Amino acid sequence: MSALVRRLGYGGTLCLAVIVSFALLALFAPWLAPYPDQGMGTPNVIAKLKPPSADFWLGTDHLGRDVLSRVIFGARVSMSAGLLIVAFSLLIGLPIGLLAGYFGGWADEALMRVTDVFLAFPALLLAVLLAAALGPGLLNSIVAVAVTWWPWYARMARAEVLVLRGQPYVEAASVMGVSQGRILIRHILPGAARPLLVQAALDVGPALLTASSLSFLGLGVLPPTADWGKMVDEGRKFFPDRWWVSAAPGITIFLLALAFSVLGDALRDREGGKRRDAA
Amino acid sequence: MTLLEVQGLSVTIPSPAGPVQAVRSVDLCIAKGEIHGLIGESGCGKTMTGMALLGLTPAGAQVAAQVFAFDGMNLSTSAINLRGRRIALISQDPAAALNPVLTIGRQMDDVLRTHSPHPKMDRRAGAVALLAATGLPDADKLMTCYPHQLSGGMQQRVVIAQALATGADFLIADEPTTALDVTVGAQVLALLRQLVADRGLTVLMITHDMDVVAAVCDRATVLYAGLSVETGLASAILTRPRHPYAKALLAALPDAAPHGQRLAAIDGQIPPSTKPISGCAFAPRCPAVMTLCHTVPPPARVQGDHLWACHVAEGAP
Amino acid sequence: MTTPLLTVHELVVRYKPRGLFATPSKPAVDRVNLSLPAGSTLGIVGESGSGKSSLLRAVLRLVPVESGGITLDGQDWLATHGPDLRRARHSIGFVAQNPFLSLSPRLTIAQILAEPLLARGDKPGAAMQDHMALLLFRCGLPPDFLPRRARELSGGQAQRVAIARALALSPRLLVLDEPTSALDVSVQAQILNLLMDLKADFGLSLLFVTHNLKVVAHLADQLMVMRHGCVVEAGATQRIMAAPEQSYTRELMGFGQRFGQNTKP
Repeated sequence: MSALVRRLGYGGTLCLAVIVSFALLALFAPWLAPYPDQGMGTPNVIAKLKPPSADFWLGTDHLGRDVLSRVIFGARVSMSAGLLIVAFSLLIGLPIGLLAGYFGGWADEALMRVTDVFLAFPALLLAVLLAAALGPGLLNSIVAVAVTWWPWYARMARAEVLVLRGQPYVEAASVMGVSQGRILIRHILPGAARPLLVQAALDVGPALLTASSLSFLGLGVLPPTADWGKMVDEGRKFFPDRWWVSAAPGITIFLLALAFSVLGDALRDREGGKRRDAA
Repeated sequence: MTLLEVQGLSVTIPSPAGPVQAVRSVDLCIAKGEIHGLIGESGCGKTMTGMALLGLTPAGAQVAAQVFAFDGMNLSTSAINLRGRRIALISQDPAAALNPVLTIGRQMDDVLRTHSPHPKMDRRAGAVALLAATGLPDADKLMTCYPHQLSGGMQQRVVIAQALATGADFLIADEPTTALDVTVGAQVLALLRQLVADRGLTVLMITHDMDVVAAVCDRATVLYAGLSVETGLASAILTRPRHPYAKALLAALPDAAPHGQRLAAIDGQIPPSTKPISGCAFAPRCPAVMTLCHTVPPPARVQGDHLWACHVAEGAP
Repeated sequence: MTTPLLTVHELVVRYKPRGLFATPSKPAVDRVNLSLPAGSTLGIVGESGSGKSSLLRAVLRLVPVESGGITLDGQDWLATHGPDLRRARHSIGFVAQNPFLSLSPRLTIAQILAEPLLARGDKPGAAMQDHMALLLFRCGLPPDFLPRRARELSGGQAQRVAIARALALSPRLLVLDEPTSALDVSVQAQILNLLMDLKADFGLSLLFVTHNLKVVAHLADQLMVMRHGCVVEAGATQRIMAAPEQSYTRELMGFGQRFGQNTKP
């Protein structure tokens, strides 16, 4: 525990706790939500738009469904969306950046020009276009966002590789007759992956927000699946009288995005300290 | 006339592994107009001693001394005032000491403006004169150059000019030639000797390089594990060292052994700086060690103006 | 007359100037010749900009060569490429100046030593472990250093690991780039002794680059002084140290002789 606090600081550890709590909520949603069937979408019209009370801690939405349960089930969608977007972007961007940076020459030029094309578009706009083209559905929106996000990781990976390529221990390996493939995997990849993973942690928050934005615009999940962005959109009509319908999912998005952001900062501070020592 | 008098200087720095004794007990006595060498290898505390004189020890460090006086003033309290006015620092990497985005002229002016507020034209003339005094050619043109346009030797001369501009009469030079080529470094040292002679400066030359000591130092002090172990004339220390560590250090130099023969390396390592030392610090590695050396701190021995701390009486091998 | 292990013939190394309209730069290595007989030590001395490091990097095939030739063990070294080059590299060991930069900070000593062995195709196992322990032993380190990391070692110990790694594949030529410049005098003495012992035990040829004339004078049979990419003076060490022909050589030697101490017997 104290090792964790030493590594992340008190703020970082708190955020990690928040994130882990949400992850647990998402995993055990059917057992933790007070009204699991409503969380999954079953309407309960009699209890339409009730304010927060003992029965419904966060009130009910326009179809009478318990907002708390919806938020808990929404965690499943949002967390998986955030993590999957970042994972896919890394899976595409890291190898591209590695190859471009290590081999240089025309491979570098070609890959970087492709990257530049994607970077030329405003990310959210491109994601909306792609999501609209692919059609509704959670996986489609995840793919759409990932396709707009990988160029940043490719650029970052390439920059790291360029630095690592010139390191004396990498040179020593090639002087010894170690094959390029081995050098790439043994020396370059671990060094380049580390800062990228830190950046990825920082990015889950914004990824989550982007996915929620797409749902808000109607391009993400299909009803009746609970999704925070969608819930905010649905509750807009009733704002500010029945504030809880939009506020609950909205504040949750904010909290989780903030938690990832602060955690990423804590990781980066630690990484920055390490980088300084290694230099 | 003694300019700097230090006795029993200690610097303790807090760290996660416990307090680090960077300097355990150092004595220094430097006369006006002298170039005094502070000799030692890495970890001996020579740089930290210099920092203590400037009041630039790391945050949280505790500096204590029995005597800690510069020109009669107590350094514990007035180091901050003396720094940059009477005492100046010339450090190892001249490129790092100069601001890369400001011209030489601007950087000289910054120093002059702080220390001798005169009208701008006078300051400029003063800056050019100082740069010329350090042997820089075309000093006037140099005023508009940036540090990266100068070679390492020229950069170091600019740093020396800045030190002169402060009006300081005591220069602490921390390995000023280590980052420079041999021939360039020799020129910089010759410059320092000339400035000492012309302007009555005093220099503390912190170095690990015996060639530097041989080239410029009048007197020298040898440090080991944060302790001063030998003090005397530089020529005496280099030709007839008394302390076993000083002897071993000089014997380990590549030109101390005939071509192709093994060098006399010193076994072992310096004692860890987090643990206190009982007896003599060099005892675990000393070829002349006696049982006494491990438990009793060595007494000071004197021969004229040559001091060293050792249990073994002079005359022993 | 045995063929020398390494010869360099009229070598020119020039770095491309940056920018489209830049004038061509002066060569870093300007028609340099050298010959290293097997089992001897050649010391290359020079200051910064002398070209000694570029010459070394050219021999190690780390920088492209503009013109000239290098033969290693009778083979045209510059004409070797691809898998042949990688195999041939096994006969050269390299020790760089700063061991903390040339040893991977992430790997254990065991992994660092295993790297050249695996590159040659050895299989990991007990035999490899024994071999690594032997390599460390020859360089004066105990086998319990194997699980440690470079940052836990002192400068001298780390450089010993670097030397052990350089000798892992039993090379005939050991190339050293300022191997003791980052070390204290007492540690430098240990490393120089180690190099002399290894040279005697394994019949190594040493190519030694440094700015410190005294170090190289102690160790090298032959000496080569470089300046601005050219060879200023070359020949047997003892002859040059006793009677240098060029004033530049004398300048490099003359520093620090004020008290006349440490004169060689």
